[in-house]
Amino acid sequence: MTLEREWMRGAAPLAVLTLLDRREMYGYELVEALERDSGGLLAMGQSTIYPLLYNLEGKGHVESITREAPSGRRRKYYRATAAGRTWLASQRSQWATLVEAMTSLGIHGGEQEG
Amino acid sequence: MLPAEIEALIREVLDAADLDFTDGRTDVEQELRDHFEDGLARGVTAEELIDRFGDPTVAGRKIAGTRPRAAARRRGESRGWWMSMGEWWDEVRRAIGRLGRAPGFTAVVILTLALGIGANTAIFAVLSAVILDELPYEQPDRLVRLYEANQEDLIGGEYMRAPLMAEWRQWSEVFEEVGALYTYREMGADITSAEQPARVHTLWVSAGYFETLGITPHRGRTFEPNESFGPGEATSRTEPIARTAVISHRLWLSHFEAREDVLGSALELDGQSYEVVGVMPRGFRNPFGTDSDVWLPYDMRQGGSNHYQNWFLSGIARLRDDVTLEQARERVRALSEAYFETEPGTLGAFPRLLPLHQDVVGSTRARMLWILAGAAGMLLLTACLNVTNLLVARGLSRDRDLALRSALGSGRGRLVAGILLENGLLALAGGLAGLTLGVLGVKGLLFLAPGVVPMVTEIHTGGTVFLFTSATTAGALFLFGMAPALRMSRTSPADVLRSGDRASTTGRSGRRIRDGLVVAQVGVALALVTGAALFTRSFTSLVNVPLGFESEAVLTFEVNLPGARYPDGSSRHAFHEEFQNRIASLPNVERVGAVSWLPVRGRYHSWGFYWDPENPDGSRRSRDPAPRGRRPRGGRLRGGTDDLAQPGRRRRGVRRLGCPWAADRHRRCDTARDGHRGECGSRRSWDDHA
Repeated sequence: MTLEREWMRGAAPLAVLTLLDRREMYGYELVEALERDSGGLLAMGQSTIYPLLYNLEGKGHVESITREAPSGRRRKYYRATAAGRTWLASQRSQWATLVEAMTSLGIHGGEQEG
Repeated sequence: MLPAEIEALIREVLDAADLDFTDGRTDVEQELRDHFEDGLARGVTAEELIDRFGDPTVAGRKIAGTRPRAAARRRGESRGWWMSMGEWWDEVRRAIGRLGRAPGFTAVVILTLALGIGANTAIFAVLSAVILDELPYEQPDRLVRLYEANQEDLIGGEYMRAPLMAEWRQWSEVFEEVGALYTYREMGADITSAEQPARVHTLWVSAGYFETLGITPHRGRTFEPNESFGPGEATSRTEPIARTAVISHRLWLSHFEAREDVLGSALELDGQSYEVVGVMPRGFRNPFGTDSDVWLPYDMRQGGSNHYQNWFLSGIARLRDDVTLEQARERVRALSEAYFETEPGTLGAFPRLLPLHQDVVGSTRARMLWILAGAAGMLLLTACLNVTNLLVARGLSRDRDLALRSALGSGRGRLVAGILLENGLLALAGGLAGLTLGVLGVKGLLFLAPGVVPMVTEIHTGGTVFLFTSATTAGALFLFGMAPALRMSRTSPADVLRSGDRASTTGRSGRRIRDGLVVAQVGVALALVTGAALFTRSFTSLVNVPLGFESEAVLTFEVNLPGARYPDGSSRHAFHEEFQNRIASLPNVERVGAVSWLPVRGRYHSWGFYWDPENPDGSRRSRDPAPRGRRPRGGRLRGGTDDLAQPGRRRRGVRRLGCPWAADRHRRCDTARDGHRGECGSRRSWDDHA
């Protein structure tokens, strides 16, 4: 199953920031983690991840630092900033409210399955 | 190293993003490389990575969207002239690329500018050193050259009498210091204390000479008053009161190897030992006359050659700070009149004061230099017009390119900036090449014609010259760079693009500009050529002035006899007899002769001459010819005898006269026969063999 573009546009920043809130990651690592942890659902075109990261960086939600990776190569690592975490908390709360509202409307996984 | 298809993909992303250096282009490129390297390292194939990456153009645009300035550029928004350093650098690279693609055009423009700027740099360097710069002495505006003038001869002769100089030195209400130099003839000596004898220029100066110029010695001291004006009387010109010497910085380095303990050392000149008491600072030069390596104190006391009938010294003086030149001139006239009352030997002479700078530079030379500067300026103007023409012609062929950029959203300001940048690069290259040419030109001038301009070794191509060249280059850029830039910026994109071919863009306005340029160029070139023709004509006339002798196949050289080995006239005479005999016996030598000063070199011995003892008539100049073969090659005598070597004819006081002067005198006396009597120098009676 693939998500429609509009869903993807809303979910991707939230997913990326959630991952970066857990630990700092560099580009390819993040691409892999998104694919793995979302069961392939959020595996977007890899090129999209970079404009997304630059955008979040521009808004001050993430910050980058270049340092040596375990492979010995220098990589640009991204991590969530305090502002990013605040924004993430607000997004999560909105997400939860949305899910709640959707559930009360009878839109939930079980019904769909049934 | 990434596979070629991945490299191509990265380039595609970056091109689509259109980032420059300030937009973090390098960072993005590196991150994309890291991405693919990591993928390959995890065993993913290149094809798979490319496939998963997605559309590079979309990626590029999205990346550009995260960079506000890159996004603005993509939208075609222009911020006029204001560009970031990165944007400027980008423009510079583009301009270099454009110029590199037209090497012929670039070379012609740079060469044309280099010639114009180079000529101006060289002329300015000379002009700045000779006219604009002050003399390299302390408070040079207080320095004056002294000439001995009198009521009948207000200009005055070149040389002065020692007793007068000694008197003027005491006029402290006018002069702070007075210095005398023996420039009557060039002096030299052999350093005989070294293993190899070396010839050096020497100069006799009075105590106070260095103080007048305000020069502090690099080491030691200058001459003390009692080394020139001590008690007693002078006996001979060549016998100094004190055997002390001040040496040049150059001699200190070369002969004394810059020894710290040079003071008190002995310097043997022509077998006579002198004590070194001082070293002049580096670069010190006499204001006129020749350069010196050694300065010796001149005995200024009365007696010997120092009397009121002997004119042979040159003088300089420093005016007191509280005295203006006019006040000084008035005051010395009054003082001289008063002194004449007590000392009739002065013949009523007074010092004529001429600012030293004016004396050294001379008004004619200054005018010549300004004319040359004007010519060089016109040359630069022609060069600029030429370059403008080339640029406009090139601009016409670039209209389409610019129109396209303009249509794609490049702002006018940005386009003009780009063009100006290109012109600026041309000006910069032309300026650098011009500076090099100018410096080489000055060096060439110093090498080829060391005596053409006064104070010539002072010409240096330092900061002022560099500033001048920069300003000239900027001026040239303004002249040739603005017109094409403004014209190009006014190009209407629609018109140009609609016209479809390049030739049609050379419309009426383009032709008008080029016509105007050609007219201006021809006008300036005509003035330049006319000036050059007049110069050449004057020069040719000057060169063709008959000298009264044939200079072809005549070789000249200088002979210096050390005083220690040839102390008197007879030994010198014997040397010259023998020397000339030997030279004459050489094959291919037709005749040999000697003279104190070579003809037409501008230097003479000066003698007072009185045609009629009742009616004094100032001084005239002479050269002393040697008795043998002194008739110049091809020279003819108007009358009398040319053989002063005949027994009984060579005697003191016999002089031959220069033709124009003799003719003048004879016309005035209405006679032109031999055997007239006149008076010369010390009013000894003598025969005139005209």
